[in-house]
Amino acid sequence: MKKNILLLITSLSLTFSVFSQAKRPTIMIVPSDNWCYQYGFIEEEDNQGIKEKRPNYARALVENSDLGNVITKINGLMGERGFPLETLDEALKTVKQNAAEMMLMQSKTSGAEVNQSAYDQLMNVVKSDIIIKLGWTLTKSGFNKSIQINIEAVDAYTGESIASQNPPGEPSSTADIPTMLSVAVLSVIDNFNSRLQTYFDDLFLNGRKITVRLNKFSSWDGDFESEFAYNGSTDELNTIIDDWFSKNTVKGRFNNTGSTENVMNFKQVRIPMFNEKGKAIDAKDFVKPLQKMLQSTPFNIPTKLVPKGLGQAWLILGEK
Amino acid sequence: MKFVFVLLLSFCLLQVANAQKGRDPGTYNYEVQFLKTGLEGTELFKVFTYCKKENDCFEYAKIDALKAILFKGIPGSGLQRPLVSDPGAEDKFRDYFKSFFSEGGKYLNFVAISNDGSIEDDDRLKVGKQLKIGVVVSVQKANLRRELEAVGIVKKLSDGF
Repeated sequence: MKKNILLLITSLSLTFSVFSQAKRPTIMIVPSDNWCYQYGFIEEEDNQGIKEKRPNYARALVENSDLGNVITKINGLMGERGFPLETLDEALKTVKQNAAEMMLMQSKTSGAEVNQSAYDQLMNVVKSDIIIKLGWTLTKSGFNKSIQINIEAVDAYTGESIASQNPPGEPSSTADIPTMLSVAVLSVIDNFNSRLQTYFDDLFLNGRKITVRLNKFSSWDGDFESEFAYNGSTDELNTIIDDWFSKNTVKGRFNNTGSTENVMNFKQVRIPMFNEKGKAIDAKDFVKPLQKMLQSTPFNIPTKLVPKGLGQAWLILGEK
Repeated sequence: MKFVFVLLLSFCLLQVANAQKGRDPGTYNYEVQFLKTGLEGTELFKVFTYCKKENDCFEYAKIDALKAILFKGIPGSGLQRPLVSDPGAEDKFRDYFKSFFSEGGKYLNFVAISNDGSIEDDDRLKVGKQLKIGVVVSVQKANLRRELEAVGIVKKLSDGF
């Protein structure tokens, strides 16, 4: 009997320790747009009739050996700190495989093809929490040359810059480019990680930041000022939705940046890192319970949930 | 009466001698300049420190460089913020740091005098009764961070995940 109780206590504490560990944010390095322009790794893409210039990561990795070396160096240093990075090379291979399948996919109704930029495709594959944008500038002055490295971590959910470093490099007349790049990485990595640490501390304390926008279809005869009897009182829909955000955000933190009868905008919405099942959640997952609430009694409003990347979701009321 | 006078005089002399023997262990009377980043997780600094004898300045410079990295941060270097981010850590881990910076202590594993200890003429100054000397030291910042992470003074980047 005693043995069984002991076994039960041990299993429970093990289960607790496993679930109390937060999922480690995933990080991936990509060359910055500016670097890609500078080194000519840019291609034109047709985005619904509009020509857009996009970086070509695959070509950059194959044709510029310095890029691969710098990524490997940073990967090694981050791995040493307990943060191995997602490999861009591997991610690109998966994107290539997916692209072939996407070519075959068409819309059910209009027959339109699914249109995604190379960057969107990459983000869909890796689903990294943090993207490190890397670049450098080589300057020559007489016999001396110097390298200014530029490294910036961006929150993939919000696009917000969370850490950046671009100190001027030391001039040298003898060192080769790979050595100078290696020194440049070593000179920035500790300050960069120190800022990353501040960001992680904030995530644990205050949750992730996302943006939510609520709209209405013109065909819907209601609006955000329509009144509903809910939870024992009668209020306008915008008040009920505002209350929902207060209850479901971390420490009730969000910013209602503007509400009219047709639209509600929420920015700096702090959502928990995980749901009650321990699954990491994004903007779409966070808004789903609100969608369910609005679709059920007493509201009975049909809604369409449109995810816009990891950190933004639109909920459109009135139709599916 | 004479005995008491001699006793008092001896006591005063002893106090003066003790004060001159070493400097205040908590002193922050130094200046640290970042020189350059090395290849293997090292950084070079020039430390201007004050001493009575030149040899003392070399030892003080090693300790001062590490203290600046740990508790102050060094502008322009790869360690702009202090490595020990908790402002109360120096007191909280007093015993550890006392042993770390003791004579022949662990600190010597992470810092060394560079340039064979040669001092440039401009870096040797007389300030009052003291010498102010600029000593170049090399600090193994990556190993230092690992040591502090291992004893729990510095948080690992992956902590909490």
